[in-house]
Amino acid sequence: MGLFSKVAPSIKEFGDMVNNILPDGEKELEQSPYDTKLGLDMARDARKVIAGKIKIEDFHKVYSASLISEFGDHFVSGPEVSKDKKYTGPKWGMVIDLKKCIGCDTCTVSCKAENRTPPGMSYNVVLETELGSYPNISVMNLPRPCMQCDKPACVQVCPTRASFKMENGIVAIDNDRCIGCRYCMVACPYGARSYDFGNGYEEEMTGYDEITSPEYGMDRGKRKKGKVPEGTVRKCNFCFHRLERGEEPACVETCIGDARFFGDFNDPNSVVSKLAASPRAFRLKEELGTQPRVVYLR
Amino acid sequence: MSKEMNRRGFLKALGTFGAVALVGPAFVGPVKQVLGGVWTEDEVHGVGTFYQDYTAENVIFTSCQQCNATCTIKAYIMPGSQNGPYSSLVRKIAGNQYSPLNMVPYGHINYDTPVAQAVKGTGDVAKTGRGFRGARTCLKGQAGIQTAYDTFRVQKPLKRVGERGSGVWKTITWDQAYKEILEGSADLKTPGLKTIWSYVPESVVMEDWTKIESGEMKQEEFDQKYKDVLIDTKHPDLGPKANQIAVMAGHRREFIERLAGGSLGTANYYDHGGYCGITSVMGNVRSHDSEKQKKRMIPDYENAEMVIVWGTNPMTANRGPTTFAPMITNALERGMKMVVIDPRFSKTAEKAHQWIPVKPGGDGALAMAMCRWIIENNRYDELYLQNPNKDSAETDGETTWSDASYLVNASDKKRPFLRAKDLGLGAEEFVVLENGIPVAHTKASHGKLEVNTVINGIKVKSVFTLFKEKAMEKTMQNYSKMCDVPVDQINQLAREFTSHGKKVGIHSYRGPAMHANGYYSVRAINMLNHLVGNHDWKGGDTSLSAKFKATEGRYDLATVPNANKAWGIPVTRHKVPYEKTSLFKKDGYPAKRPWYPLGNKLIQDVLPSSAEGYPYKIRALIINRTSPVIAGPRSEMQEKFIKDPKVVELVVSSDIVIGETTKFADYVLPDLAYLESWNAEDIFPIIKYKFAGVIQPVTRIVPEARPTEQVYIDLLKAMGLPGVGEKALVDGSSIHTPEDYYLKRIANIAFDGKKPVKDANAEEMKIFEKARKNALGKYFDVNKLKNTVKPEEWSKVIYVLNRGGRFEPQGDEYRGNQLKYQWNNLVHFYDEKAAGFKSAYTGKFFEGVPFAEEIRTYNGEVYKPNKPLQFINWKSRNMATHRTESNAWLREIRSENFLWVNPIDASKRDIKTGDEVFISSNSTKVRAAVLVTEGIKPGVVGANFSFGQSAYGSSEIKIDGKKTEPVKAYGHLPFEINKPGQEETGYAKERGRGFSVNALADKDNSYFEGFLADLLAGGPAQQDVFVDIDKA
Amino acid sequence: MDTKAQLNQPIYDVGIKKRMNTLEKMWWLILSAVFILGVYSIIDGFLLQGMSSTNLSNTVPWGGWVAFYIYFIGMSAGSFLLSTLVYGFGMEQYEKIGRSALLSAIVSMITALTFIFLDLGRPDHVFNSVIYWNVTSTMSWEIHFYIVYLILLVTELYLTMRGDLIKLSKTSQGVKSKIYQILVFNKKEMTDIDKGKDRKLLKILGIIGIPLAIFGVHGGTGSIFAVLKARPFLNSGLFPIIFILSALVSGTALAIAIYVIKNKVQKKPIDVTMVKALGGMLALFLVIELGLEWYEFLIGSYGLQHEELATMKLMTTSAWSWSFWLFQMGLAMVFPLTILFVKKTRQSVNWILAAAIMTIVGVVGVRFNMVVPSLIVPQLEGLPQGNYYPNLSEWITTIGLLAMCLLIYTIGEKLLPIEEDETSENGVSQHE
Ligand SMILES: Nc1nc2c(c(=O)[nH]1)N[C@H]1C(S)=C(S)[C@@H](COP(=O)(O)OP(=O)(O)OC[C@H]3O[C@@H](n4cnc5c(=O)[nH]c(N)nc54)[C@H](O)[C@@H]3O)O[C@H]1N2
Ligand SMILES: Nc1nc2c(c(=O)[nH]1)N[C@H]1C(S)=C(S)[C@@H](COP(=O)(O)OP(=O)(O)OC[C@H]3O[C@@H](n4cnc5c(=O)[nH]c(N)nc54)[C@H](O)[C@@H]3O)O[C@H]1N2
Ligand code: SF4
Ligand code: SF4
Ligand code: SF4
Ligand code: SF4
Ligand code: SF4
Ligand SMILES: [Mo]
Repeated sequence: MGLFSKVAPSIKEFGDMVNNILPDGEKELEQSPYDTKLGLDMARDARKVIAGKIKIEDFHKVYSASLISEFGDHFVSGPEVSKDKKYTGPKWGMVIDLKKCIGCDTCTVSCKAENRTPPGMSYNVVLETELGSYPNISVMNLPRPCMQCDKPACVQVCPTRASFKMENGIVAIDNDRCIGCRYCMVACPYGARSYDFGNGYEEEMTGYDEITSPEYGMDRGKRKKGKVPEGTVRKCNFCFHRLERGEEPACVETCIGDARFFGDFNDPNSVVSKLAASPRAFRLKEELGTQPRVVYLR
Repeated sequence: MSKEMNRRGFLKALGTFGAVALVGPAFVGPVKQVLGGVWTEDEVHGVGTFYQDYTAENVIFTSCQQCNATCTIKAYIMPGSQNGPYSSLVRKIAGNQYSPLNMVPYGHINYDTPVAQAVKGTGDVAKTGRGFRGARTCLKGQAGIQTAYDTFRVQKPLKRVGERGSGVWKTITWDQAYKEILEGSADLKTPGLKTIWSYVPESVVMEDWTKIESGEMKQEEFDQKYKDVLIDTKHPDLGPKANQIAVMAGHRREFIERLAGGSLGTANYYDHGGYCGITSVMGNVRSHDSEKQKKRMIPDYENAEMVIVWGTNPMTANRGPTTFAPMITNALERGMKMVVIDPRFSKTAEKAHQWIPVKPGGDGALAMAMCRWIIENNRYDELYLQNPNKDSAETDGETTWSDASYLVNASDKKRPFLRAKDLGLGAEEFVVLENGIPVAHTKASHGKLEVNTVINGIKVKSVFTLFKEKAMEKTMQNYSKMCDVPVDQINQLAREFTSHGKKVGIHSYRGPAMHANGYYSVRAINMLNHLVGNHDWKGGDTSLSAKFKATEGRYDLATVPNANKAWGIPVTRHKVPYEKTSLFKKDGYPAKRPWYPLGNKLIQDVLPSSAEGYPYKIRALIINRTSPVIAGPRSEMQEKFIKDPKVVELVVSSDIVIGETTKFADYVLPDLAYLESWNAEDIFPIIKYKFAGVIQPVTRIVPEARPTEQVYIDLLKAMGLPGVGEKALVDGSSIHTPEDYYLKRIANIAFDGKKPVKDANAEEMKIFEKARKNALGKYFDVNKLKNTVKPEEWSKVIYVLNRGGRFEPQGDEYRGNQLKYQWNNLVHFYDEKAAGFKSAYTGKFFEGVPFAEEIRTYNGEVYKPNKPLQFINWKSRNMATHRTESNAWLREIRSENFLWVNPIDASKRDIKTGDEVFISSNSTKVRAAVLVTEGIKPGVVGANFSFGQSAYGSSEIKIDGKKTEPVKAYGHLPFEINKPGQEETGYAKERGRGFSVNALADKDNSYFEGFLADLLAGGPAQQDVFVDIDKA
Repeated sequence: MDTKAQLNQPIYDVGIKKRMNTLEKMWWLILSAVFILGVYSIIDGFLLQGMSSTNLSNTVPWGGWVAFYIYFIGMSAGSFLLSTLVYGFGMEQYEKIGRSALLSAIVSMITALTFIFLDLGRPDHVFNSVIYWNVTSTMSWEIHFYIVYLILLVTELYLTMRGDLIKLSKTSQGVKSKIYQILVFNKKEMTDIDKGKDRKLLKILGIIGIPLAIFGVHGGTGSIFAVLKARPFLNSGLFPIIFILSALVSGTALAIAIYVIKNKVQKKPIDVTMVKALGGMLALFLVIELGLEWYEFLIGSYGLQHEELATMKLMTTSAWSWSFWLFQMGLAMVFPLTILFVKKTRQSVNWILAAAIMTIVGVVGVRFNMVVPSLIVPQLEGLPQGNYYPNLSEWITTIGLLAMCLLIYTIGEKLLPIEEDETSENGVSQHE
């Protein structure tokens, strides 16, 4: 494997290795109605980008025009924000006011509807605990999305870095990379992750398989047996795709207790920043050091 | 679509080259990771830029009908697969941001916001957390697509094979279905509507009938003349044979009621109201002037200082948790106090400052005890109560006034109000005592509150005195015993209630009402509002009358030209005093079955009445979206009768899935689901804004389905009846399709008020068409819609449709310290009508003022149950009535109804959470799983009523020889992880779990196949169920 | 039957095939049948239905296969550590089991990896775990350690056998001879210098291997669990050590079992002293393990941490507590300890064998108890408590893989000179 070899393999060697395992890209490209040459050129230059021979910005400059003409504005991605430049976008976070949460599970269902998760998978659940004895009782309703921890236990353990933290605060899962080992599920202290067993609702619901949610901005087309994300782990992603189109997460939009708040923790004047400053604020299992981005108000 | 696939192919191919990039990180990766910080990934991977964004062309605003609150919603539509049967797929439902119902507490966006902009969003997620591209709905609303896209939808008209309820069907064409429904079917031996139907106007019959009574006409002659048109020529007051066609409409009510009452001419029009809120509604209506009906008791949450939530659960049920829940949580945050009176710890009780677990049915006693304390301690608004009329109220800064000072004629057995004419003071005015002399109420400035005297030989008492006497009849201890609330607690509650001036209110609905004493309990609760005089006050009681007019204005949609006006005694004997009927003359007391002078549309008694043939038999039943079998009391009894062709000869049901009642139909007609059709179901707007929602199609899933309206149009047209077809409306326009009606309705809404809505501009017109083409495909024909209204109306109609309704802007909600939309009228302590009515069994008069009544059977005796536990029931948090069972997402939240048992009762029987028990009532025995909880009063058990389906995809059916298996439980595990209360695995169970609450309803043995019901209003006593439980 | 002739006729000799006794036939037949059944179950379950063919859920995402995976990792590390006594520290009294310990370490490793491979949701993505390396992930490190470790084991075994392989390449015929020739790179003669080199290399490899096995492979596998702060019961510094201890326990027990059974079946003399020594070693490991577990439970319960107490309660009092009491405490601890302590039994090869077998079986329970109970206890109060036991399909697959494991081992034994050629071996030792 050359793990400890002093000589790094050349780009060509990488290329050869990969070309041996992976399907022939040129053939695939031929079958697509899009420009084969463009594809080949892009791939070539992509390798150069990886090898540090051209800058990613230049790569985008060269190709963005042809991409837009080829795909329309479906493909309007600028150069990825580079690490050296300080990230200035929002850092998302959520505040849930437990005094207002009525334990209705609207968040749970809205999340199902938005993310069209399979049976047995709820990105958000609402935990109910009854306290006290008749007639002096109370019920605690605890909605639990993914905490999008700043020090996420799931990311920590993921062997492939399929789980990783985005700069906007969201913990993402690259389902194309995930091997489905479920280590992250075991590691998450909040039980926020689920495995996609590959089942669905099609038997009871016409058209369920037709639409999948563009989680993490990925267009995965129809849901099909054996196709990613089946066999991988999934979780609440703060409705990344909604955020990108200017919508708050589905559960926040619809929370009928008006208990869920959302916004940019980077902005000290945002609603969430102000709420999180309340003495009522706390985070779940704070002692574990996971630093959740979901703040509760007790 | 195929282009999309290929695009993915391209990207995938790119990926294969790009994969080179992936190998690199294996070696450089770890190093880079360590250098660059281990948490945040240096390179974003697996993240794309496809966000499934949408524009106004992918959105249609309509209304939710998952429950009966009918919230306004937004549907985001996407194209589905080309070979799907549907025209489009509804991607996601959210609330309508134009509508005040869905935008609490932010407030709805400006009505004139262009749709394109509204759909793009008017908020800022990062800063305020809101994009306002959509708004709130409750969980049931979120799951709505599963109702519409249910694979169990009825696809074609079905005709029964074998006995009713056999579960075997064959598909037939619409033409055949219509033909057999109209002409009868030889093989099913069902008569046709044409044979059954016959009509004659009331005036004609009654003219001859008076001739008989005066001897001018012989009975035989009368018989001869009317035997083919009247149900019974000996009892012409039963009405025409048309009455033997009963209509049960759970929705599309505005449309169908018009035709039932004016085209078909049947007095037997029913909707779900009879088992929904009738008793509560009548208790409220009869506590206010009846000229305009005040049906609900809802406080102004946004300004109240203290609210009592009395037997309702606005956080999850009532008329829209979507609106109420955020209103209440924000009010509580503001500092509002809330007390919940409910035998169980509801989701609303969880948030309350105080939970008062009243004894079920003890609400009247509790309210009367509070009234007693308030009166004894002079905590009522005396000045308010003395105001006898509008003018005097106004000088007090009040907009309402009461009958407290009005005098009642105690010498008359019927105890009516004393009228001015009785004293020669005028005409029909009421009389008050002012400065010791009787004055017509219109002339007085203040009436004396406590009067007990004789005027002109007439014994009179003031209403207040009558009420006070009633309140004082029982001691606090007695009351306390009846409601099982400690005296101290009652006093404290009464004190609290009277400590906030006008800023208190009561929210009440079904809990106290659905008892045999419901009417009086609801009345008693209303009295609390009267005593503090909180009506119309900011923070007080609201009157909910802000609606845009829909059936009048541009088009008169209510009137049927050349109508066959329905008349005669309805088979459930509602709204009719027994003594005025020819049957009374024949039978006297006791009547065979109860008569409900204050009742209306008592759907639950249709089948048993017909079975007894009292007062007559119905012959045909046409049903849509309501299910007496599972929603009415004594399911087994209802089922027995609907199955029996001797009880009802023809049963036609329009349904989307074969439901519990539909299952017994002779013909099943596939209806359009709520997301596919036009409709008009009004929420009872609980808001301060003039409001009109719209229900319009947003997709089409079942190609051959037809909306129930179409069925009525087609059948009535074939019968040659008015109100449909050509010249169906007063202005001469025709109704051939539902659109012919509903678009005009939209026009009415658009033009109501001082100023009509704006015209849709060219862009909005384009959006309108594009969105509908995207959503409905070939089912959309813009010209067809356009032609239903006048050219000058069209663009305004579009304006309203594009916004899913018409909503008054914010900022004009109050008039000083009062609400803008007001009751502005008289409120009643005394129900003169009730006082004049008698029990059809005992012939004894009812009481005119509220009091702490007991649970009684029809024969007037106090009900003595032989089971130790009282069983109450409520609306499921996650299901709406019985019609959301198809929603797997909702079943995931909870798939069945658990029997709540207090640990005290549980330990006596050695029962634990999760155990199976048998619940036995005096009707039947059902099996249930138990949830042991501190959240229910000891001695009381209960469950939500939305489960226990026996159809609707929960049992096998056969259509054209093809079997359809029931829905199975989800998940691959052989064991159960969920426990009652901890059901987070996300696996829905099969349909039809749990038990039918209504199977348990107690019998009332004092009449044929009787059940307990309120004696005046007739609402079933759903909460007076007594059971025992045994471990199964 | 310890005639020289037979000793000179190693079992891997082709000639013996003819005389394959019924016992051996049965052995092959049954193992193959079970393996085929397992393959069927893998196709039907893993390949066609994916994870929903198991009783795993989102509440309990790891189950039997993970338990068997760590079971075999433990076996492997244990066997390897034992082999290092010979090759790393030159404790020749254990020479007889050296190669077989190495072979069983390899086979266990292969089995372990097969189990965990079957547990992956996306086997097609498996290379990502090699390509992408997450420095904070114990599992990521493990994956890479496993690879190195496996290479090390194979090299080591190869080196120990090289001499014999060269002999074999000359003595055997046909395909076999070809194979051996390839295996020895056509080397014709093993010189003493070669032998010395190999020995030295072996020593080095053994010594590299020790930390690799202890900290990398086994302690590391233990760490996969121990780092889980979401599972307080597992989240303790002692956990990896206990893991290593139980590896030693199972490795020693396995070595005893293989040695004794093999020799019994082949009716060969048993080195009683060695077996007793191994027995003593097993006892020692067991005692240490018991001690560590005591601390684990003591400190764990002392913390009064809700989830931790719940996990212990679940292990010791639930419907599944038999797996704790019978397997973990009984078979894997108290019973063998008793046997190995009581004077009469600890002297008897049969009893020691019994203790070893008990331990081998019992450790399965230990592994299950490491994985399952702490996953059953919900991470947050209000989440449902999980449930898990392997279903039929999982068991069949498991048993299939066990058969596979034995098959590979037997083939290894048959094909490779695992059984030390006494003459050559003696020769070597005499040379030293
Ligand atoms: N989630 C959900 N929402 C719904 C519906 C649904 O099915 N599910 N249905 C819709 C319809 S059709 C309607 S009519 C409304 C009804 O809305 P609600 O009026 O809220 O109806 P219920 O849940 O029937 O009854 C309210 C409460 O009365 C309590 N109760 C029972 N007996 C007594 C009693 O004797 N005294 C007192 N004080 N309380 C008692 C019950 O425990 C329950 O909490 O909800 C609508 N909204
Ligand atoms: N014991 C007890 N009884 C109760 C109550 C209670 O709380 N306790 N609640 C009462 C109340 S408030 C109400 S409102 C009633 C509600 O009871 P129902 O009026 O019976 O209403 P649903 O159960 O919603 O719907 C009845 C049937 O309509 C059919 N259906 C569903 N969708 C459609 C559609 O789109 N079109 C057509 N044509 N048919 C459709 C289905 O077959 C369904 O079974 O029950 C009342 N009964
Ligand atoms: S939707 Fe809001 S109020 Fe309802 S359970 Fe979720 S967080 Fe709580
Ligand atoms: S809550 Fe769990 S899944 Fe979400 S980021 Fe934190 S550790 Fe990861
Ligand atoms: S299941 Fe996927 S995301 Fe989770 S740890 Fe394994 S590879 Fe990472
Ligand atoms: S943020 Fe989105 S993904 Fe997360 S729980 Fe809410 S709806 Fe689900
Ligand atoms: S309250 Fe009723 S109408 Fe409103 S969204 Fe919920 S289910 Fe729909
Ligand atoms: Mo209702």
